[in-house]
Parts: sequence; structure tokens; C-alpha cells
Amino acid sequence: VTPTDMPTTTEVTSGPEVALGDPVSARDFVRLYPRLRAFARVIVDADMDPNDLVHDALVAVLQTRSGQIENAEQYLRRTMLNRVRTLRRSAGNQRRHLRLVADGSNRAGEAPDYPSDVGALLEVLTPQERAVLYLLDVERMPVAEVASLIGDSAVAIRSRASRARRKMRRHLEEE
Amino acid sequence: VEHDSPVGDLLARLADSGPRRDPVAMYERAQGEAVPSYATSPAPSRRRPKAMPLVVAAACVLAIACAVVLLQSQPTGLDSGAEKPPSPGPTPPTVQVSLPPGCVLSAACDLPRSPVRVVLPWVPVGYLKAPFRDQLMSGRNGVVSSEIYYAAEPDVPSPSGPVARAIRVVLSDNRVPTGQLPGADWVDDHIGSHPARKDAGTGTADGQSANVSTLIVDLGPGGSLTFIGQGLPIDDLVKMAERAAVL
Repeated sequence: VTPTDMPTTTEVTSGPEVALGDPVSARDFVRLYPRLRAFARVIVDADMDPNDLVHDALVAVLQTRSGQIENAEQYLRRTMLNRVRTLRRSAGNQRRHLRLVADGSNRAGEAPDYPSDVGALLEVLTPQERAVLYLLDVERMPVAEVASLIGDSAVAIRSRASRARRKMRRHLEEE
Repeated sequence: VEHDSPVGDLLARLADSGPRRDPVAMYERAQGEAVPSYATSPAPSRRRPKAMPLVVAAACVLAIACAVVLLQSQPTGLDSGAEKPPSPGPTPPTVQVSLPPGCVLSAACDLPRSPVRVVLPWVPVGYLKAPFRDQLMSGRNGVVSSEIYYAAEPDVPSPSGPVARAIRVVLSDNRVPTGQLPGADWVDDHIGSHPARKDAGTGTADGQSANVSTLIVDLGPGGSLTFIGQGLPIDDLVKMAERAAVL
């Protein structure tokens, strides 16, 4: 499954990033939404709705002045990643733990909507590691591009990807 | 679609899971929530502020030190001097004698400056009763504030001794602070238990020989003081008034 295969309301274009000088228009967002939502789904924790994350990032983009964004998709993705970091550091963990204590499930009153082996990703890897592996392995993004999006060096991205794969491999072997 | 690695496959399945929303509705809602700002970069993650560079810290310290020096070099006005009067020492302060002997007895003395602080050295304040003291402290009768400073030196002489029991202060509007003498209760509360009082070693807790204190009276605008001596030798009272310093 690739992002472009996911069901969407409009046809998703693949290829180079969409460069938008102005804040994202409705048409551009509709086109970017499936890829953004998929990315958000990978990096959020179990108790977070990826659509909410996309929404927050879109609000941030629309708040910027016109002409300040060279690459809207990259901007949106970086914003989502930063927000996930912030949420995890603050109330995210506490809220998740409270819910786990309250009803014993990952989401209040709902069963997880992903297979259990997929759920291991959320437990073992950090959002940044998930993002790196997703961009490299699923979206086939070049390392340099991933480094630009994450805000790190290419060497660090390779190291992080290697470490994340090692962690996952170890986890799968243990199972 | 099969991926090269099992992790990639898991990530793809994870990315494909979960509900979706109508992006058009999402966009319209985000537009309603977006408030234009001057943000020029992606929303930054919350990180700790970087430590202040050493140069900046040194500059701040230097600036503060210069400010303190400049402030201290300014001429101190009446109010600033009143903030922290000098503690009494063995020698009574005689900075400025502005109360003529005539006003010591009964006449009201118009003080030269207003507001003004009058220091009465060596007044055996142990004989001032509590209501009188309370009025001074509460600012009634034009009194802004008053402080009593205790001499810690055990051998400080008392000029008049117990005969100073009749010291009273009358304010310019002829309102005489209530309170009669002596005030053993106040002495017990304020002097008898004071460490300096014990160090003085010249009196007892009943205040009969409370001594070596300085009474500072702050008058309001246009205020004046009248000293009335009852049972106090006039010479001693005059001497005491001469020692009174208008700061």
C-alpha cells in the first residue's frame, strides 16, 4: 500500500512536492490531504486522531503570511512532527496513561483500528523514528529530503533509521 | 503492496488505518480558526531557552553595578534620609538644633520644613503609654510614622533618668495624643522584652528605668511639635530639645 493508493475524495498526485508560495488553498489541501493524513497516522500516538494533527498544522500554515512558505507539504509535515513532540512531552502521555488506567484500552471505549503488530510500532519507535522510516521505506523519499524535512543531517537520519530498524527487528524477534 | 522490510510494511498498514475526514470541510474549519500572525517558520517545538551567553550576563551585571553607583551618588533628599535614620550611638545626634528652648515648654513650634522628621534622642520612651505609641504608629494626628530605636550599648547614659516620665508630644492641631504616663504595659511589650533593653542593663521590665532610646516622629505637611514637660527638670528638657535633630 502506498499513500497514493489510499481512498481519497480526490485524485492524489504523486511526484515532486507541491510548492506553494501562498498559504495553502483549499484545492491544494484537498490534494495533499491523503499524504498528510497518512504521515500523521504514522507519527501520532494511539490516543491521538491524525486528522486533528493535520488540522492543527493547516491552521498554522494559514496563519503564516503570504509568500513565506516555499514548500507547503514539507511545512505541514514539520509542523505536525513538532506538535507531536510537544504533545508527547506535555499532556499527551498523561492523558494516554489516564485513559489506559480508566478503561484498559488504547482509546477510550474503542478498540484500536489497526492490527496488533502494527501497534507495536507505536510502542517501540518514537514519532521521529516512525517518521524517518515511513518517509524512507514507504514514500521512498531520498535521505537528503528526509533530512531537510526532519531538520537534521543526512548522517543523523541514516543513523536514526538504522537504530529504528534494529529496535523493531529486536522487538519482532522477541515476539 | 509488499515492502522491502517488514517495518516498511507495518508502517504502510499503519498509515492506511484510521478514519478520514472531508478535506474541504477541514480546510474551511481551519480557515475559521486561523488568525493571521507574523510566523515565518514552522511551529517550533518547545525547547528550553538557551543559556544566556557569558558576555551578556557580564554586561548585565556591569550595568546594574553602574546604576547602583549612580543612585548612591545622588544627593539624598529628606525622604530618603528618613527611610533609614542613623542608629543611636553613645553620643546623641546633634545634626541640627531647630527647636528653640521656648517651644520646649509649651509653645507650638513651626518646624522649618514639611514634612519633617524630628529625632528626640535619649527620650525614655518606656514611659510612653501604649495608646500614645499606637497613635504615632498609625499615623493619626498628622503623624506619618514613628520608629523607636534602641541603643544596644549597655553603658549608654540616660540624661534624665526616671524623671522624664512626663514627656508628651502635642501636635500642631492641638490634638494631644491620648495616653497617660507611665505605660508599664507597653514597656513590657516593647522594651522589657527587647534584647537591647536587656543589654542596656539599666532598667527593669516595668519600665521604670527604661532608657537610651530614640523617638523619631514624622510629621505630615505643616506639622509641628510641642514638647510639654511635666515633672521633668526644665534644664534637662531643654537639653533634650537641643539634642533634637530635625533631619
